Amino acid sequence: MGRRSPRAHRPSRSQGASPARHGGPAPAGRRAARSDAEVLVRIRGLVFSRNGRRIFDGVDLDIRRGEVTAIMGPSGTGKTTLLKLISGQLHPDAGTVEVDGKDVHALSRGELYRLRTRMGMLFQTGALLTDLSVYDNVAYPLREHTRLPESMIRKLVLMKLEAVGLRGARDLMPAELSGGMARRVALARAVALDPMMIMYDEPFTGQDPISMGVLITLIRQLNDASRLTSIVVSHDVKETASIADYLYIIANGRVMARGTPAEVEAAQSAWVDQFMHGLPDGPVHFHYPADRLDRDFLG
Amino acid sequence: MMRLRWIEIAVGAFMVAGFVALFFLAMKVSNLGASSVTDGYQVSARFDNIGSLKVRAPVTMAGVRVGRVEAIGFDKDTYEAVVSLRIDRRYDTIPTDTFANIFTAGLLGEQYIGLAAGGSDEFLADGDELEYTQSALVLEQMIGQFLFSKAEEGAK
Amino acid sequence: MLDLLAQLGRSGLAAIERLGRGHLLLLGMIGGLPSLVARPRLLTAQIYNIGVLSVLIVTVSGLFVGMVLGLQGYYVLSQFGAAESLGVMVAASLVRELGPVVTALLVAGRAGSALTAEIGLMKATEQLSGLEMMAVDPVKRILTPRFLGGLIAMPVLAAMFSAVGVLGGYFVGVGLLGVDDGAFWSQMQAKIDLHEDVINGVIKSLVFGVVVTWIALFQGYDAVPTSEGVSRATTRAVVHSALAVLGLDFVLTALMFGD
Repeated sequence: MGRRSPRAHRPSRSQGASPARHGGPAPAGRRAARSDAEVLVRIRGLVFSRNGRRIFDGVDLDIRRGEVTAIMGPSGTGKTTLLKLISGQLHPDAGTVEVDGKDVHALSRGELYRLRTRMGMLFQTGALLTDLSVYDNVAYPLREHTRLPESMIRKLVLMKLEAVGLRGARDLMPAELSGGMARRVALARAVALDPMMIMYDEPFTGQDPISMGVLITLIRQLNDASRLTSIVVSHDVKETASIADYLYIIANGRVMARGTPAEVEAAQSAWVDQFMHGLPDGPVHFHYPADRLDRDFLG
Repeated sequence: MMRLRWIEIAVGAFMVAGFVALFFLAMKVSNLGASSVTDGYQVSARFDNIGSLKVRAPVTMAGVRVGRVEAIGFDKDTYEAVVSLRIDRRYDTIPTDTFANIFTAGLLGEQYIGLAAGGSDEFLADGDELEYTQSALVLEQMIGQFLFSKAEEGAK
Repeated sequence: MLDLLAQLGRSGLAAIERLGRGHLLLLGMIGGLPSLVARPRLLTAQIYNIGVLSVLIVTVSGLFVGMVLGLQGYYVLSQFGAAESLGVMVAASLVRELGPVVTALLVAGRAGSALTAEIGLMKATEQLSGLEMMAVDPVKRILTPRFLGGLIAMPVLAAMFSAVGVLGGYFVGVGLLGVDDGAFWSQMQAKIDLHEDVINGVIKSLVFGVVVTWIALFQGYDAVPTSEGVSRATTRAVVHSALAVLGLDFVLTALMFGD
């Protein structure tokens, strides 16, 4: 179905968006130098629509091992949907998603579940199980997927909680945690099985400056200390750009810009400029499309 | 951990209560139940026809309940129904020549045994038999007899 | 006109799709039953939530329903001079019909709506997605124990309802209105058959247990993951279960007592 889009057949190093419609070209300089073996997640020609609305219209993405890759874009561009496509919770209309060389959507259920034990995901709300304590939440994946004795699980859980600074909060229930703490517990749970990659869904939304700083440091530290690969989906430009090795900006179902933070910053695109600096008016208008003002008032 | 134990105890009690309720329905409400009156003394009576008298039906005297039907049997030699009655121990002055009658409570109601006291000086004791009985009135028989006699009158 | 037809077709198709999803979920839950053997704790927690927490409302309702039956039955039956048959009437109505049906409606309102809200909220707060991402099947771990818990709790609750109801009828009929004690029980025992009435009542409530928990769980699992979606799903769960219980009751009654 998505084959109608010519974009699906283009090689990945092409620009993310058509310059005529969306302004300047995206920088693609460093991209060509990258070797394929370093790519952990490879997305080609991704097309996905929901309720008749096309959310992705030919998206190509590469996520390299050991890096923090940020995917940014305005609200409602389907950034969370992209993570769900990568983890196989949703099926694309066309295109492929490969994780560690395997086509996620061609896997059987058992294989997909095995792959997921090597992926962690941090949800916007934390998604902790509300009827279990912090300790049991972190222990949950270990108890489900390993046959470790309880004493071993205890050591692992306390270690993971220590890494996010919440060893003292192990007996609290999720309802007693602040939003930032819940996310840190969820992070401890996501790394409990020592995955190869972690996906962060809007980790900074609604956080006060202190817990935002804590989360930023944690994401970077975890990534470097455990040789992880991280995907951060966010629309908080400054915070995300400060930890990302590579940025993708997605809007209108396409990749609008890509590159290192410095490259994106320097991009000659009015749209990217507006997004990166949060200007109220620009290619994206302040006003929702409407009839002319004088006609509305006098009519 | 304490709470988990409490839940398990509650669930156990719940299941036990459910089985008790089911047991009650099976034994006490349905026809499986055969619990009988045990105190009091037993007398028997023979009837030609007991109609639809049931076990545990009341036995009354002057309209007051004095006992209940304990068992209903059939004498295959005399072709009579043998009904054994359990009379409350309090009523131990019932004469031996008492008359047992099967009545119907109302037009459609349940059948019960009514006792009419005789004049004897001796009283009933455990294992005695009532000699004077009258069978149940069967509605169809009565209507049949009535129609038959009317028809005879008309023929005259 | 054409628009209307297209609209009709679309909503019809959507309804059939939901029906299909619902049955797939049922299959998934049945398939998950064996995995419960390793985790009996999950089951006891759900029997507690669905069964134990519903005991109070079920027994109190049963008591009142039985008392009303005793009162109403007495006035009707005494007009025919058949007040002794009160026990039969009370017990037959309870064991055959009111026990299973009213219990199912009460459980749908008390526990079914809670299940829908719980599952819907777990979906809205991404707990179900979270489990999936931990490579844990939420149908097996979260839905199946609730399903089996409802299935076990329902007949137990219905038996309690009927038993308490019979006692309520006894209290009003014998205690207050002066129906003969022995006749009350003797007529009841003569007319109520263990297999015909009691066992069939249990079968009915088992079927209702499946239907009520299934509908509640499906509505939660299929809810739009927002607060509005969850509240709509909760309403729908109660309405659908009530209709399904009453409709199925007719079918089951026709099958069991029809001939």
